[in-house]
Amino acid sequence: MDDVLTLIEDEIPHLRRYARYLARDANLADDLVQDALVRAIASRDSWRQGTNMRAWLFVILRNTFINDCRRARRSPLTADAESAGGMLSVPGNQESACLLGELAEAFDSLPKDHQEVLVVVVMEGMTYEDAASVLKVPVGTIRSRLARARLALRKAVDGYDYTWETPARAGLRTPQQGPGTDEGNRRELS
Amino acid sequence: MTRPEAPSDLELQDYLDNRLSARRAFEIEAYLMANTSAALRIRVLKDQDERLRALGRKVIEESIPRRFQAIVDTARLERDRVEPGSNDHESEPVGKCQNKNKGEDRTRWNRGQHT
Repeated sequence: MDDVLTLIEDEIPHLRRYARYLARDANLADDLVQDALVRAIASRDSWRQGTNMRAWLFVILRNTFINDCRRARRSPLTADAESAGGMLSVPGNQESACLLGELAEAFDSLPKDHQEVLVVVVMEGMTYEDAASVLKVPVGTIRSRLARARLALRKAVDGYDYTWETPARAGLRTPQQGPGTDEGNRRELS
Repeated sequence: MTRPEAPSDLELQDYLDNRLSARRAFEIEAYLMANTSAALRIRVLKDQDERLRALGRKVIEESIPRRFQAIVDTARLERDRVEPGSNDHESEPVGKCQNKNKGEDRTRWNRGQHT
């Protein structure tokens, strides 16, 4: 059976990702992870078996971040997205770089609360309940904010107003712009 | 038999996030079969989720800075130092260390680490 230290260790990559979103700077983010890691290990007895380790660690990370900001007299989570460099820079020279780059830009243009809920639920796969405990808001807020964030991201990508339920068309450009390997192959053959 | 209610926006999202009962999910699947434009919209958002995850993956794949590993390793070392096998049980932290398989994660530290 895994011991608590191993469970914490396994989450380090996820802590780094969340920290990068919070701090918006890779170095600052890693400093943040370091502080949170030390804190988490020192208080690991208070983690309860059977609860979500990632959510527990994220709460610590987020509190650390907010305290740091308070000390530096910056306002952390209300700050707008434009501040220094996005969290998700464009990946290297992969085939899909262009498409993902577009998405990364769109993501970076979203308000912070939209970004955060997308990171925590979509990327990290947390339940709404765990996300609510990390973000310190009610579950219903997670649910509605997430729905808005998904639509906002969609809109930031292609400018279409997009809804869950109203008549379609919007947002449904032909799917062909993808890097679909099939398509690439076909082009190569012709 | 009554027709199942059409899903609300939030319920469609619940469906996307697998938060519905099997029964309600089944009803919504039926709804989506009959409403191709709604089905397509769900697919677009699902696809967007997947691309977002792909985007986030590269941070996860970066190698972990040594200093983080060092923090965990140090904590292990400290824990194992006060662990049984030796003699000072009373200094163990409460509630920890019971059913642990020693030997497993200590092995790397057993050499030359005695103080």
